Amino acid sequence: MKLSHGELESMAVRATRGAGYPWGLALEAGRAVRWLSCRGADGGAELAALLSRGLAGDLAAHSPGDMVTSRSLSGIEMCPLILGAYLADLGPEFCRIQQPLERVCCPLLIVPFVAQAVLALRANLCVSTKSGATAETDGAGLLISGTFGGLVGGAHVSFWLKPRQPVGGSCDPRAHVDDESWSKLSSWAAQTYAPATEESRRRGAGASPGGL
Amino acid sequence: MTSELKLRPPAQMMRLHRLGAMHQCRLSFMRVLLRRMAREAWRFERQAFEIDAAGVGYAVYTTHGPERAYSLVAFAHDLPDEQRSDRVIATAWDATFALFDGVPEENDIARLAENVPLQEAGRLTAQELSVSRANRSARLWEHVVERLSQGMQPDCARLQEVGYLMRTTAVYGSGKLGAADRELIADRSEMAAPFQAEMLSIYLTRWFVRDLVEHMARARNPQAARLDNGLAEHLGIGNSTGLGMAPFLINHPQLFNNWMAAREEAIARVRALQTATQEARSAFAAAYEGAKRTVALWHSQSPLQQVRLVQLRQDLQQIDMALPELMDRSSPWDRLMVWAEDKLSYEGQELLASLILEPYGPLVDDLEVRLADDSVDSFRIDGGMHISELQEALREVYGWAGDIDWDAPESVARVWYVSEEKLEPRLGERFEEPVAAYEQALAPARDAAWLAQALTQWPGETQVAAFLLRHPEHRHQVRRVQIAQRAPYAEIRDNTISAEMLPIDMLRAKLSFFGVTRFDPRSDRWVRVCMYAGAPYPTELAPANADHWVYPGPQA
Repeated sequence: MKLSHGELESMAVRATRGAGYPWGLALEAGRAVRWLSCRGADGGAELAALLSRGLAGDLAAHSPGDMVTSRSLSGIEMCPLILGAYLADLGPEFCRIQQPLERVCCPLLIVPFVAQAVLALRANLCVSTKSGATAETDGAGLLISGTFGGLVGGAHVSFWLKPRQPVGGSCDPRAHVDDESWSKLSSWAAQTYAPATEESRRRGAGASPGGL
Repeated sequence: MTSELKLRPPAQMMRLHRLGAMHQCRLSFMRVLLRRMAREAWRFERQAFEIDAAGVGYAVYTTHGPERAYSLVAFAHDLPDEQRSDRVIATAWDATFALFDGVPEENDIARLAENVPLQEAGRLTAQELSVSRANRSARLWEHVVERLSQGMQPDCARLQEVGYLMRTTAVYGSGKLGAADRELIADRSEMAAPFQAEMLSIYLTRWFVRDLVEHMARARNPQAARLDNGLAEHLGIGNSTGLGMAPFLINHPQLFNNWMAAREEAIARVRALQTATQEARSAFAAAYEGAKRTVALWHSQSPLQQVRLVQLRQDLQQIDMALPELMDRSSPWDRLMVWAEDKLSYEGQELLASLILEPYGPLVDDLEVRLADDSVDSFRIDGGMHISELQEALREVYGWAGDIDWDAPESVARVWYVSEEKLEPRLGERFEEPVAAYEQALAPARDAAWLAQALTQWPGETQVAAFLLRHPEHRHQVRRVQIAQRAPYAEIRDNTISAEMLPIDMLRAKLSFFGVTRFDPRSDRWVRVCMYAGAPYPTELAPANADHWVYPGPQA
């Protein structure tokens, strides 16, 4: 499907909310999807894969933080939205987080969250999974090698900084998302719409049809 | 000079009763557009007018600027009266439009013909910048067509009573329906100010509507008269504005701050002047007389607005009496505003606030560049901030929200939600309808109170990042608080879900920045307004008439 970036972002926000995330994280998810999509990555598919995991029901369990039990043993995935948001909040200090990050679901979604800090650090960030997929950003562009998508059960993620060099690519004027992912996102988004009832129609928007 | 300027504070300005009394001014977006196009001598031409005797077909109007061209592609339809609706949920209209980036070729027009009339059910491409639809004012349309077809002019009083032949019911930009995202055009100087594509689309639409009504008169009688130029200039394009616009102000705090801050700085600059030249006084007087004429023509069916218009007319009488003496002193504009705050209704105060800017284009028009929001980092939360600092910011911006009893039903009576019916934005009653589960994040005051409550459980030296890791449900509000720290006019300082909240107050604030006039509320959440009434038509636009058209001159 070809869309405007605004349409994809808007759908991503509603889908994330519809899947049970708080509005603040939903807005951030929308931004992250847009950032990825602008740079040729299928942010919509990543988000659809994440929301399918149903992590919003217990965000605390899927958050980074003091972990007594190793995620490798517990098998509990880390949510990239709450992780990414946390890293973004830390600003340039984000690199100090304990690594590797274990069992991160859909780790490509983390990259947009730290892009701004990467710009400030004037370095390049590499994010890689144990299976060898790598995403590199200078804060503005994105270069992916290997496959990030479809990592069910989460991936062990490491990241490090390297000297700044431009990562090219200009923003595609259109957003792209595969039909299946769009359909899934639409279903979650629909959870945020109130049912169309006669009462809602009559009371909700004020004016009677027609006019002078 | 800036350090001496005293801007009216957010605590005063960001109240709904104040926002709901705002008037257009020099910095309003349609005025910014027309000044630019006149200054840069944009050229206008009608490329095509392929409309049949039944009023069905298309037309193309193109404008050429120094670097680029833009075209309105207009589609006229034969809409049965009973299908005419201004609601988002409508599926057919009298006319539909797209603003094309450039000059369309035949295949572009063919593609648009298949999509634009469908509006939300169609698709656009990055070559379209804006899409809109409009309905006739049925009474006035028929009157004008009938008169012209008889070789006569329509009745001026009737034209002035309604103010427009057609009203747009939605004007979309920024990626909606697949149109171009703002990023694609934001670097263009003519698109830097907010909503310029939309304002241009409406300006060209007004030209089309004039051509169409004359065409329909000729369809009745080939000897039909053309609409007299003076009468045509009275007519604007109406807009039927509903709830969709209200969430915008809340969802774009940085942008809204920029509009308000630019206007308040303009006002402060003028108030700081120690003297007013004779030329400035004359310019003010001309604008003021024009504003009085506008107020005389301003009607509303709304009892609420009628009361306010009575007050405004009383304000004008008071201004008439006090003006000579106030203007005869030093710092006259400041004296005028101080006096107004003491004596006038909010409508009168805000009308004067706009009027004092009129003589001072060279002093304030540079603030146009502050209207847009091109910030990239205003979205990021500063997680390193300490909770104690966040609490202080909360108190500063939302302290008043702590005085509200959030357990009282009337404090949380409303729910902003989106209907699955064409995604129409609606406002529901929390305790009367099953809509609370679908509540949008449009209650910053309540969320601020919740956040303040949650923070009391945390030590002041803890960093915000640690708090948010455990409480992601507060991310939205924390971001708002931090934006408001840097952007003092970002937040509406009223409860947006209270039983008494009037959505039209929010609509009016945004509409005043567009530049509209003649606010005519049709309910607490629906308002009719007029755009470009009094403006020159595109082929007559020139620096001499590009600016003060909003203040009508004396009748001939």
